Amino acid sequence: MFEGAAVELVQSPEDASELTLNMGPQHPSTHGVFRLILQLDGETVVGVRPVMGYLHRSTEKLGEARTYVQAVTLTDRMDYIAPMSNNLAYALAVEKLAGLEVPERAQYIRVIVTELNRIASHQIAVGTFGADVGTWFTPLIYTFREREEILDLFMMCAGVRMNPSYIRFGGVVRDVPPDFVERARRFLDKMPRKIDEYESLLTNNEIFQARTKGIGMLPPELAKQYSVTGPIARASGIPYDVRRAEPYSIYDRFAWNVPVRYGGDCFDRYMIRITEMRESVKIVQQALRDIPEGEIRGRMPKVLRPPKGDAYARIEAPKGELGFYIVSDGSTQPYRFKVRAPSFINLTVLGQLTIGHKVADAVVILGSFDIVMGEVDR
Amino acid sequence: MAVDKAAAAKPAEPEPEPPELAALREIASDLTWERKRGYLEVKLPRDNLVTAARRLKELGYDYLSAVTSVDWMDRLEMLYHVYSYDFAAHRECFVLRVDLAREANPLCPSLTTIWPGAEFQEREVYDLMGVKFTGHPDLRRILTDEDFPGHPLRKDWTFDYERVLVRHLRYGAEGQGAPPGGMEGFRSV
Repeated sequence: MFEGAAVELVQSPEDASELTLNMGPQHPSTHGVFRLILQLDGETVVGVRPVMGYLHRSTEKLGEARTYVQAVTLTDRMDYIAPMSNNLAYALAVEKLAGLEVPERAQYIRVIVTELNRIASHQIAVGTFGADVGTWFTPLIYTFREREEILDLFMMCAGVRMNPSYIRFGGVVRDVPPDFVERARRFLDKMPRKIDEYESLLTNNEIFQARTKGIGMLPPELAKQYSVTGPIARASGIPYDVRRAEPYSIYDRFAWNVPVRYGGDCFDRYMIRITEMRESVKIVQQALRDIPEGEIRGRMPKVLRPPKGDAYARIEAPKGELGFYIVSDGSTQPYRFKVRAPSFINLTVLGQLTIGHKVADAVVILGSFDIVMGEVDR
Repeated sequence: MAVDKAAAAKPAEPEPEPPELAALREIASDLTWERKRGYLEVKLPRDNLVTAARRLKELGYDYLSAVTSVDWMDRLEMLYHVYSYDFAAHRECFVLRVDLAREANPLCPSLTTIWPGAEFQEREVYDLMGVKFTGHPDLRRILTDEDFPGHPLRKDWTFDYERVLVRHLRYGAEGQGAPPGGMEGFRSV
């Protein structure tokens, strides 16, 4: 299975017109180490076989061998471009299990950092998607410019830019510094203008539209059958958002919209991400306005031993529904540490979408899915 | 219809039976249910799983979120978290639980006929826990290597770390420094 070079062409002996094209695992447009075995008839894709697991680190097994606090660091490394969301989902699951309370101020900080992280994640998604359809690196550099400022904000509150492990059960690790709110507000004030800039580079670009409109159409029925969530489902006309379906944290206090589009093609998936960035800006602005003073961490036992039982918590991560299923046997370590990874499950439908398109569009469709291999392979 | 065993077993349960459960009880008369943290947890026999899931989908619960397996040492348990995409109309959250014998490869009916999207998740459960799904279109390992030994999420699973990781470093890429039989199980890549 793993033999062979990164790209190889195999002429199948029985039918000279069919060709097997091996895309990946080390290919810039696979967003990590993901491999697609494409069966081609001329330039048209007639068969797709995704191969994954190159980045498998057995996070679920490792989680069973660590204490609850130690396992937080594992969650950072799954969706490493949206670690705050992973931290939050895991913290919610453990809080459900152990019955921990979260103080008000920590709830607001959680919403602020996860929504900032959603913007950062969508910036990568939009920027690299542009690179996939051939805009080269200009939009990517534009989006990274603002992502840098979000990472600076994370640096202020968590002390690191990536893998922050900032949200823990019972609250957050430490309070945000005094100038954080002002700096975040300044950043958010200019963010809508910057999103306009991305749009002027991509949305109105004729070539971009030609490459993405009508490509990879995902009808809502198919999306439902394949358990698709996140921006991909919302681009197919399914107004499903866990923040509305099963409100967690304090999302019910803010005014914001769930963007829905009905085309279901790559362009709509891109547009959903753009609109979600604008909505996230609104949420963070409201949270920064209302954030109260007070504790950032609830009362915690020195050694966390949740009572026997299990809990499932799910959140709307940038890529879809992220769930953690934790089983406790009463000890200091989780008995079962299961992750419902949105990228992994969204990938199930990829083969269905790609068949019938040209091989150049396979790259675009994969790019519009916004997968991150740390989460797919775990 | 069937006797209300679950309600009889839980006289303290003040909550009346949700209407969806009556439909499920037509399929599996001996199911038990309880509400835990807002989720409706339904325990089914293995043979009723597919029909119950199909009934649930007809009732509007059309979103199979997560397929989970837990190794309880004396048994394996499959969990299916089922929601509805139309969350305003169907507010329940179902957790279908199925017990399996703890064998090397216990059989479990596949839900891919109802939700094709269960394909990768069931492959993952097969890979990491060793549950064989009957009726699955393409049941192969998904995250680990094809000739990976055992199913790592089993609690009694152990791993010979030298097998894949170190042997070629110790004995050289061609196995030239290996003692007789020392390259057993090592595949050159």
